[in-house]
Amino acid sequence: MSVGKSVQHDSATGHVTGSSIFIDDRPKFKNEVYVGVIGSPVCAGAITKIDGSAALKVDGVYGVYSAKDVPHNKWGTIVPEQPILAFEKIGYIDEPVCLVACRDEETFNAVKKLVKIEATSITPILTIDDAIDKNSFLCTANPFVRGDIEGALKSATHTLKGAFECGGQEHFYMESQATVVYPLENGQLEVHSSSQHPTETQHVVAHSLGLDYSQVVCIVKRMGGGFGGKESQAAHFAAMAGLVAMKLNRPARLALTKDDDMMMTGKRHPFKNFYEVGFDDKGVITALKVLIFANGGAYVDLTPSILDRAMFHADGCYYLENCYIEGKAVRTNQHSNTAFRGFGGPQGNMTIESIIEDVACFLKVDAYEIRKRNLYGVKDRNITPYNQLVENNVLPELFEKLHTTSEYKKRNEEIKAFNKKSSGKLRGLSMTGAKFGIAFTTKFLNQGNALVNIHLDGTIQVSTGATEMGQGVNTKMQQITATAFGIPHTQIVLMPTSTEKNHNTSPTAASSGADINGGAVLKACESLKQTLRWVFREQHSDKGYDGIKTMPAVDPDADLSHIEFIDGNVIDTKTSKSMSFKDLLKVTYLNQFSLAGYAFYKTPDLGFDKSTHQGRAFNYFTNGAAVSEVEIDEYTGELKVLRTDILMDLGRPINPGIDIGQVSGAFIQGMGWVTTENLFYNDAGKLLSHSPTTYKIPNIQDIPRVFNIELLENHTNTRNVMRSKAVGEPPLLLGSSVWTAVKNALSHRSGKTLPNITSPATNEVILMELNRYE
Amino acid sequence: MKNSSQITTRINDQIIEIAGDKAFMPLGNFLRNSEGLTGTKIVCAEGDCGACTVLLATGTDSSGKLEFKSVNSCILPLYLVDGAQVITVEGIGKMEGMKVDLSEVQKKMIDNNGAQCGYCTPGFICAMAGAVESCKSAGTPMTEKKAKNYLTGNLCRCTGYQPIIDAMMSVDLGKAEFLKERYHNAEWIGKMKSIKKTSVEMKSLERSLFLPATLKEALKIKSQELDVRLVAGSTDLGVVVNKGKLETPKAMALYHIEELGSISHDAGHIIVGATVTLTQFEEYVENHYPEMSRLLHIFASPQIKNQGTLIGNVVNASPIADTIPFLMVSDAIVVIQNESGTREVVLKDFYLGYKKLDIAPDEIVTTIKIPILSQQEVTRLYKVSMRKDLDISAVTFAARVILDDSNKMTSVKIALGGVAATVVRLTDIEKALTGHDFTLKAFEDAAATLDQYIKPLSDLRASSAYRMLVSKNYFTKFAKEIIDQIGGGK
Repeated sequence: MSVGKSVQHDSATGHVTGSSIFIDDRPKFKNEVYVGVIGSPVCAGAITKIDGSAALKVDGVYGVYSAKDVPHNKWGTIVPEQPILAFEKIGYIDEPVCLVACRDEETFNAVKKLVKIEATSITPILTIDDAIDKNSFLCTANPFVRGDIEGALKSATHTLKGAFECGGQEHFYMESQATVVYPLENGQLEVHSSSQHPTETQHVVAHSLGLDYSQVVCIVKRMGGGFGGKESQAAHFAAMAGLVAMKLNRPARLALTKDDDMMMTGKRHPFKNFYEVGFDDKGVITALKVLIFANGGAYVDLTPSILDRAMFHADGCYYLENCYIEGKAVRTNQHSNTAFRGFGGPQGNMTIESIIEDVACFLKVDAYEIRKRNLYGVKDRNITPYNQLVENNVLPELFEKLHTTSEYKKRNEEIKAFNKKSSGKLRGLSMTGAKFGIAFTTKFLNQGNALVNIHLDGTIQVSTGATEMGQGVNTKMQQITATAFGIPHTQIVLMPTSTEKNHNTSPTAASSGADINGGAVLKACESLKQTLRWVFREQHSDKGYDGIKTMPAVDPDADLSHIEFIDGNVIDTKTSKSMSFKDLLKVTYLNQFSLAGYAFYKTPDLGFDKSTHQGRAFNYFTNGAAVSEVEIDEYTGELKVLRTDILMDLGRPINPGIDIGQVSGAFIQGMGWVTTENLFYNDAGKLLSHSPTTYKIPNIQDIPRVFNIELLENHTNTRNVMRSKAVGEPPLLLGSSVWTAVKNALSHRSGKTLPNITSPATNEVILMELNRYE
Repeated sequence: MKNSSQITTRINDQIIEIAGDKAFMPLGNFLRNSEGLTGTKIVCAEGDCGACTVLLATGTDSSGKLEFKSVNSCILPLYLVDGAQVITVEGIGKMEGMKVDLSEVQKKMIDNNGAQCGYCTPGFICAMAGAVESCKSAGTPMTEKKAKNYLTGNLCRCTGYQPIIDAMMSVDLGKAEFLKERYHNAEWIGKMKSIKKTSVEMKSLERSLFLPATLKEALKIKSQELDVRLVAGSTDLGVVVNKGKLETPKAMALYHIEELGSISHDAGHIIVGATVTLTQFEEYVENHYPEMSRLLHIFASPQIKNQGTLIGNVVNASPIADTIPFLMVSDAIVVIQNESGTREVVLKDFYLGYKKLDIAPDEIVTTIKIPILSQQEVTRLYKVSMRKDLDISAVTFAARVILDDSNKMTSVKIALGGVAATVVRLTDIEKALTGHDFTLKAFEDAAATLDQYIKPLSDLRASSAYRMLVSKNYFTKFAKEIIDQIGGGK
C-alpha cells in the first residue's frame, strides 16, 4: 500500500537536476514581450498623469499602459474594489500603476525612468493606532461571546491587562510572482501562472479584460513556493500580462524581480490585540476579553476571513469559560495584506500564548503548569467559544508526552541555575501548542473535483484543482490513487492543474489541498473501481461475452466489495478468480466502458453560521506542540535557538517524509516571523527592507542546534481522506514557542515587572527590553 | 603579451566565446537567457540567496586539476569567467538527452526530502557539490558544522533546512564522483592558462572592457582611462549594477594579473594582494589572527568569500564593512601604486569621509600589509546584525590592547563601525585608557564617555539608541572576556 509510505516527491528528480520548469524557465517565443510594472511614487493620493511618450520612442518599447486601458479595472476575492492598475485613488506606495511592454528586462530597466508619472499626495495612514484614531476600518466581525465576561472579570482573583503586537511577514517564496499569457485563436488566452488559485486567476483575467470565462484557460504546473502569497495575489499580475497579450496580440511575460515583488505585494497581517484576562490562584483562566485589530493594508483582499481565523484561534489550545473575542481590521496605506500560512491563526494563537506566559510570570508558576491547567479537556471543558465540540482531543496527551520527551522539567531547572550565573548569556524555555481548525471558514470553498484517466497500459493521469508549490500534494494524490487501485505510485502521473479540466475549484490553501482534492480523487477512483469490478464480474460470469454481445451498464449501487485491487491484480475474494489490472483495463475498454473518472467532493457536516458566529466551523483540528530553548546575548540582544522539540498530531499521514518536511519548514518560517523577519518602512510608508540583504529570513545557521520532530500516533480521524490530517499551516504556529521562550528568559531578569516585548523579538527589541530592567 | 578581443569560458563541457557588450552580462542571466540553462535560478540578483550558485574553477590545484568553488552567478559579470570553467546544476549529474544519471548529492537530496518547491534546489545542489569537492580534496570528512558553513549562502523557504542538512550528512564521499576528475581536460586547462596570460581589450560605442595581464599594463590603462572602474570580485559592484544604482561603461578587471593574486608574509607583516579572495585570506590567517578568522566565518557566505576580495572590502569603504575595524586596529598599511611609483598609507588615514578615499584617479591599491600580532596583544572583534550569519552589521567593534607584565595597558586601539560615516578609531578614548590597569571599571568609564565621540544614525538595521547601547556594552564585554582570559585581572 502506497499510502503511509515516504515515497519521494513527484518532482524531486527534476528539482535536483534543474530540469523542473517554472514560469520564467519557459522558452521564449520570438515575438514574446516583457511586461515591466511601474509602481506609484506616492503612498496616498492620486495619479494625475502618466506620460509614456518618451519611453515609446525607444527601440524595443511596444506599449505603455495604465488604468484607462483596462476594460474592468476592479477585482477582489471578497469585495471587487482593488484596481488592477491604480490611478484616481492610490492605495499604497509602489502600487502598480503602469505597464511597459518591451523587448526584455534590460530595455525596461533602461526606459522606466522615461515614463513620467505625476501624482498628488495626501497624508497616509500607516499604522493600526493611526487607523483606529482616524476611524479607518475595512471590516468588523461579530464577536464570539460566552458567559458573563464583565462579571467574570470583576469577580476574578487576578486580572492582567495588556496588548500583544506582532509585525507582518514577507512570504519570500523563492519564485517571485510570474506569469506568461499566450494569445490563442478567437480571442482566447492561455494563462500560465505561478498561482495557488488558477480558477480565480482565470476569472480575474477574463473579467478584467472583458472576456468570457470560457475564453481563458489558466494552467499551473508548479510554484516556486506560495505560502499564501499566490492565493489571491497572483491574479492581477496575470491580468496585467493578459492585457499586454491582448493589446499586442503577442505572448507576454511578467516576472517580478524580488525587490518589486516585495514592494508591490501584500504580506502577513500585522496585528495589535488588546486583552484583559481574569484567572484564579492556580492560573486557570476564568475570563478573557480580546479586542483584535488587524492591519489589512489598502484593500479588503482576504482580510475578513483572516480576521475570522485570528478570532477562531484566539483560544489557542485552551478552554475559555467566559470570553469575549472581537475583531476589526483597519484600512491603511500599505500593500494589501493577504493570506500567509496560518491565515490569522498564528496572530490569534500567539496572543493567548503570550497571555499565559504573563500569567505564569505573575503567579511565579512555571508556564507549562498554567498551560496544562487550561488545556481543552477530553470529556468536559471541550467546547470552543464558537460552540464547536473538540472531538477526539489529543492535546493533554500531546502536551504530556512532549513534556517528558523534551526533558522540560530537568532543563527548566538547569536554566534557572544557568541564569543565576552572570555569564553574559540568558536562557529561556517555553512550550506552546497549536489546535488548528481545518476547513475554509467560508463554507462554499470546501469543495473540489478530480479527473482520473486510466490508460490501457495501466498507468494513470490524475488532474485536480490542487496546485503544487512544493508541499507534495501531487505526491499524495499519486499515493491515494495507487492505493485505491493496488498499483505502484510510479504508475500515476499528476498533470498540470488547469481550469479546462478542473474548474470552479478553490485555492490550494487553508492546508486543505490534500483533504479536498484527495477526497475527490478517491471518489473518482471509487467510481472507476465500481466499473472495473462490474466488468470483472461480467467477464467471469458464464454469459460468454464475445465482443459482440453488450455488457449491461454498471449498477453503481451493486455491492462488489469482494472484488479487490491488490498488487497489480484484481481478485474476487469469494472465488479466488483473478486477472491482472492491465488485462482488466483492456477488457473494460473493448466492452465500451469509460476509463475516465470525474468526481466532485465537498467537506461534509460544516455548519458555521457567520451571523451568530456559532457552529461547526471546522472539519477537525490538527494539533501540535513545541518546546524551544533560547539563549540571549545580554550585550547585544542576539538570540540563538538551542533546541526545539516538536510533537505533531497528523492523524495517519499519507506521506510521513513529506509531512515532516512540512513541519520543519513551517516551524522555521514561524520562527523567522517572530525573530529576525523585520519589515522596515520609512516615514513615508515605503518598505525599505525589500530584498534578502535587508529582510532576513532564517538561514541554515539559525535553525535550532538540536531539532527533534516526532509524530503522534492517532488513528481516530475518520473525517478525512485515509484518516490523515492536514499539515501545511499548523506547525507554523509553533514558531511562537521561540518568542515565548524569549519572554521566559527575560522573566529571569525582569524583577517585579512582566516582560513586555513585541514580535518580532529582534536583537534590538530584546536588548532595549533588558535595558529597561536595569 | 598578445591581446584578445573576446572572452572564452567553458560551461559544463562546452567552450563558449563571447565578444562585445555581452561580456558585461551577469553569468546567471547568460546561462538562462542565452544558453537555455534555466536550472540556475535568479531570485535576489544580489548574491544573498544562493539560488544562482554555480561552481567555478579559475585555476588548478597542486595536482593540476581544476579547483572548484561555489560562486553566485547573478552578480558575476561574464568577463570574470574568462579562462575559467563553470559547472551548472545541469552539469552535476550526467545528462544524456532526457535521461539523467544522478550524482550522489542529488540522490541524497531526494532520499532526504531536501527539495520541496525546487526553486532553491539547483543552487543548493551546486553548493553541496562544491562542499563535497572541498572535503574530497582535503581528505576530510563532512561534519554537521561544515555542512552548515558550506550552505550558509543558500536560502530555502520551504524545508527549514533540516532535510538538507540530513542530505548533506548522508552523502558518501567515497561514492561521490570527483568533479575535478570528470571535468579534467588537459587541452582546456592548457588553454585556460594561456587565456589568463592574455590581456583582453574590448571597446564598443557604449562600453570599454580591460583585462590586463600585468600590473604594469593595468597602471598604464588607469593613467589613460581615469574613469575606468576597477573590478576585483564584483560582489558589491554586481549588486549595485543589478539594482540600477550604477552603470559601468568602463571596467578594468584585475584578475588576470598573477602578481596581485598572492598572499604571503615576512617577519612583520602579512601581505595580501588585490585579487586575494576572502576565502584565501580566511584560510591563510587562521593561525596568525584566529579572531579575524572567526569573524570571517560569519562574515559572508562561501559564495561571496570565494569571489570577493579583502581589498575590495577595504576600498569599497562601507562604514559597516566587517574587515575594516580589524584592519584599523591592526594599523594595516594600504599600498597604492601608479605609473610613477608606490606609496603607503595607514588605513585609518585612508578614509577621508563617507566612501571617500585618499586615492588619486590614476592609482590602484595593489596590496595591503597587516602587522603580525605580538604575544602581549589581546584582540577581540565583534559584530551584531539582525541575523547572525550572512547579514550586514549594525555595529562592528575591534579592540587591540598590549599589556605589560603587570597587566597595564601600554597600547590601546579601538575601532567602531556602523556608528559614523566611516569606520572610526576612538583615539581620545584610546589615549585615556593607555597607561591604566586593565580593569572592568576602566572600560565602563570609557564607555560612559562614548556619547561625546559618536552619534550613530537610525536606519533599517538598527536605531541610534540601540547602536549606542551595543557600542557601550561591547566595552564591557571586551573587558570581561579579556579579564577571563588573562586570569582575574585587577
